[in-house]
Amino acid sequence: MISRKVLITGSFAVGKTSLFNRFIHNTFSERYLTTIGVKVDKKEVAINGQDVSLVLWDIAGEVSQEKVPRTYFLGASAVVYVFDLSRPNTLKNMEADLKLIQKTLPGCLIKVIGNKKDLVSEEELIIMKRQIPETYLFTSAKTGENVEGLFLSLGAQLVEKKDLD
Amino acid sequence: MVHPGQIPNEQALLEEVRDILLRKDRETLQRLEDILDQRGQLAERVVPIIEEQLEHFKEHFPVAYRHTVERLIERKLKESQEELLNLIYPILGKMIRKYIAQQLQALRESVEVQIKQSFLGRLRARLSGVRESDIIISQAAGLRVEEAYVIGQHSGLLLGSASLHPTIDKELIAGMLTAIKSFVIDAFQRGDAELEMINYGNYQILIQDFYTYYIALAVNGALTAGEKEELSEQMFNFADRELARKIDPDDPAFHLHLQEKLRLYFIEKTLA
Ligand SMILES: Nc1nc2c(ncn2[C@@H]2O[C@H](COP(=O)(O)OP(=O)(O)OP(=O)(O)O)[C@@H](O)[C@H]2O)c(=O)[nH]1
Ligand SMILES: [Mg+2]
Repeated sequence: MISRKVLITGSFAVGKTSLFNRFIHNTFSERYLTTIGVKVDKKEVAINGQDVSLVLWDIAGEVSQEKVPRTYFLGASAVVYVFDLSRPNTLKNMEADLKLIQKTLPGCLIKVIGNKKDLVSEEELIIMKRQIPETYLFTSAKTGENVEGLFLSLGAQLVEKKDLD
Repeated sequence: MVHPGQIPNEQALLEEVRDILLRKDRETLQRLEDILDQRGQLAERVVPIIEEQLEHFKEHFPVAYRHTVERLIERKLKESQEELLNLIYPILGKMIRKYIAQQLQALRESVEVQIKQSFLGRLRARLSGVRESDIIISQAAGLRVEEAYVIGQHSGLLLGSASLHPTIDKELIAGMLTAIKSFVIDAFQRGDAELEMINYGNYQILIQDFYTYYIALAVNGALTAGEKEELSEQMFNFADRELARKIDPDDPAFHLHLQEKLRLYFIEKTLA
């Protein structure tokens, strides 16, 4: 069994806690309870016979990642960067944010997630997809779409990375 | 060697000429062979040459190789920085603690002398008959470390643990403790301050930071300053003996080793 720290970050109210809860407890709430500080939970997933324990850190959203305490990043093997598909504003600082994360954690695995897919139309999604790299994944914590897939592929990539080392 | 068609006479003549021409060389060769055959003789001749060369090397070494060696050491240091710091941290901590303990001891002694000399001190000794230190010790008996953890400093990932009773998910506890630590450090904006203790219900959680990891001990009941000191010292000893090395968090054998040692150092030991 290997264990990895995974940080979920991004702007406020984009659905970080909702993704966390959907993946770990398979629940969802419409209520918005902003996260204070940080919440940690974990889930074990099996990837090709290898057990991986994903320890998720769900932190308070910040408009810019500069505001996030550095200690939260340190020691993370992967970062899930979430933006809100229904609020294009949450994309505004993405480029600078990703750069900062890369600088803080060189070699770290970064997944960019557009959440609240259920709130946008197919047309809007197509337009959105043209503006961002293909690797960005769209999820809905509400319907659960792609949430399990996100964390499973993340686990697989972490195992792959370990085998390379 | 006699070739067909050669007259033996001619052969002898040739040999004679050869002998005349090469005699000197042959003698030299023979001398060299003798030298080589006898180690002593050889050493006599070669050692001074080597010594001379070494002397030359020593004198010129800094110029020729200093840069290379420096670079090599620098690179090696960089590569094993974590290892090195894990090695140094407990020793340094111990030294500082020892120094502080000595200073405190000196202070205590001087205070004691003053109390003894004072009227109040003499009165108290006559009335009670029991030394205060004895009272403290008798109250402490039975206190035990119930859980011990070694946790990755920032990742919060569990490196090893041991506990008196089976506990819920230790990995989760390790993660939460680390999150609390990070939160507290951030919330109070004290970058270099360490969180040393968390009180949780009846539990006291003692935390000692090292470089790439920290140790946490959960104790049921209130600790006196002396007990805290003892546990703290024990944590440093543990780090010095069991963790001063390069740590591979993915190595299951290492986890098992730590589990065993944590049990020995902390769980199976009652506080004095
Ligand atoms: N429709 C829809 N609503 C969502 C989805 N994900 C989250 N929400 C809602 O968005 C609001 C914010 O969700 P949270 O998960 O608390 O957001 P957060 O990113 O953790 O916010 P902070 O902790 O403040 O940074 C809540 O009201 C959620 O119900 C989604 O996929 N679809
Ligand atoms: Mg949240």
